Amino acid sequence: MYQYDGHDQAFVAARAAEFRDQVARRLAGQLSEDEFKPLRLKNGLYLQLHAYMLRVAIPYGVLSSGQMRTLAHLADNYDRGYGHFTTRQNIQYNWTELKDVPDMLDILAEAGMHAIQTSGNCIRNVTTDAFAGAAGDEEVDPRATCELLRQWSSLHPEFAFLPRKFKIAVIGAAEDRAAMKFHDIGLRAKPDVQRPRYDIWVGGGQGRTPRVAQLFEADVPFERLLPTLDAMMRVYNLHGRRDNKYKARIKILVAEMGLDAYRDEVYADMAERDPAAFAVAGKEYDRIAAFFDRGPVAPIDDVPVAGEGAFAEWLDQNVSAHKVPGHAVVTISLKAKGAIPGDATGEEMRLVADLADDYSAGEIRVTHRQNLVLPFVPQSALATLYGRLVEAGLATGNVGLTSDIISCPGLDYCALATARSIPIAQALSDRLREREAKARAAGVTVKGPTLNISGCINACGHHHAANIGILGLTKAEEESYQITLGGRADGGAAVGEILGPGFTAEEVPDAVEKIIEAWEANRLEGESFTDAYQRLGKAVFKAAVYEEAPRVAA
Amino acid sequence: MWLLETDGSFTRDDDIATGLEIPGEAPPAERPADPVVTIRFGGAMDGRGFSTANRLRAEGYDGRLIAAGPLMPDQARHAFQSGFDAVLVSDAQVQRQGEDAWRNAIHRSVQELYMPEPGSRGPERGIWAARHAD
Repeated sequence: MYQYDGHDQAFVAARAAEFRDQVARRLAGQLSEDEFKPLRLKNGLYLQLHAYMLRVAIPYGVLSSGQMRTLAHLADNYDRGYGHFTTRQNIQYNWTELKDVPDMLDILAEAGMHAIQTSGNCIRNVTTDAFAGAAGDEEVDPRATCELLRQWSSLHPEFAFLPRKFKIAVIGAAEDRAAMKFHDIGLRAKPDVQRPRYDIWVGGGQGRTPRVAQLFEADVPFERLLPTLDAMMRVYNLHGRRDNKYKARIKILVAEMGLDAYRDEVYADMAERDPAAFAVAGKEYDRIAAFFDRGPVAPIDDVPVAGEGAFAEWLDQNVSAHKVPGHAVVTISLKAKGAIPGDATGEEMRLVADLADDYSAGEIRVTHRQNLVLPFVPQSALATLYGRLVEAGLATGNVGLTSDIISCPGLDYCALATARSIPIAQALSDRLREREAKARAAGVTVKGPTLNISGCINACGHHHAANIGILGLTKAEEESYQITLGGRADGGAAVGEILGPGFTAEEVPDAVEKIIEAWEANRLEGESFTDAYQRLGKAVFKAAVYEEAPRVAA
Repeated sequence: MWLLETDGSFTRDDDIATGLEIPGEAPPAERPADPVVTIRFGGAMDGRGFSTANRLRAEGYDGRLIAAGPLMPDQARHAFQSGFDAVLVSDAQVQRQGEDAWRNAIHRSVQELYMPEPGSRGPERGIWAARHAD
């Protein structure tokens, strides 16, 4: 993985010192709360319902074991013993105190980490495929591009007070495991002679106006990548709407201007500029790429691994093919039966760090589905690793199943939420794990629809992009959960359709179960949920859910 | 009024030449011929003035560019790194935000970025350039 040099180290230390000064000026009254707000947000510090929340960047989801132990230390000493991994591959601490945050940032800086631009109207943490550098279908390792963009966008002078937040994702494989087309800008890296070339997508996003990104330009050579992004950002900064925060994302600008007009503005801006200013980026890309080219593991003999019972389920669901022979990619589910999706205790983080040292070249990933990954595990170590995960209660074999739920923190923590998310996720997890266990015991191949939950229309829980999406709203002072069907976050990205009237919290598990039963009853052999939904249409599911009144649990 | 220069000097003067004043919302259709141009920001959260300055520099404007409006000391480096030569600060701003905060605005900010902006008047040299100097 990428290693900080003295420049990177000095950069994050300087940023931590700058923020310490900003906090001191806020406490002294020299900065008003209105002035301090954008400054703290640019450093990931939110004021939530109960306390300040600090969101720490995990650039493109890559962590060393030592960095994971630092995160565990922060959880134990500055929070209530846990942290929450997010859909943008970051971690957030829910119970921090303002006066402690500068110390937390110093501790992070020592570990080569930061909270730069994890919030605010600026370019956010760049996300990617959690299997980068390990996936069997990878064409270009996207991490070098991500690190280049991290450096370029960090503390960018011109693009720090944008109309709204700005999210970039990069992928380099045929399969999209990063929901790339739901980002403000999405990049698909492809192999070329020396450095990659890129398809640039623009205008995707979720929130209250979900949009799938459109192709801005295909096959952009590396030399034109940063000049193009620079001009794309500038046109957005100058023309994006600032009169209404719900219409301020680039997806609205592109929709209102039209893609062609937006493109013309971008090329006009580029035409005035000397791209030589960006020439050094090529050498920097090569320097960064060298860290990733030296893969941490060498090919060894393939070892067939098979098991029974829960071990077999775990092998089927949580273990994926690796590009280096003799190895496997292991996903550790943070979605045990009844668990809070994405939460991990300090103790669990330390255990995962130890496992990474013992079996995965000291490296860990965070996935956008809020799980953890050990990316470089020898096949011969899988049985031992599984045993240690069982002891720690981290061996749930449900990755890719419906109980592998994405959920935002919702009204239990978030100041923006309109309904609770976590209790809904927990109730669904209980119900779905039982179904999955029964199906498996009956010898049925279980591969369920994806299920994501958001506690408000801002859609941090990615409900629009789920096969089954659940959105918590408040109607007449009561929580009401709207269900959407048919969304997809993969290469065939699509926004889900609203099924019908909302449900109470208690009704949601029954409604979801009826949807899954309707799919199972009507699907062709091997047909995925979204293919079946496309073929059958909404009516079949609507009838299944609404024809009799949903049973209400006592 | 006070003026913060790129060298960090911060002085009060009742008679500051601000030249042609334009709003930060959009770059002017034609490059100004005036030797001094002041770009007024509509608000601290409105970053369009930074892009307007950057665009003027890209178009070849080489006169003096002054940033004005309700900016914070923390935004001084953004201004200099986007092509401004100075930041105009009102007496009321200085009184509330602290003279010391403005006087130290540059050296308390992160000074060296990875890539300097074209047209930058900022203090940084650029980490990428330093890494690949030969």
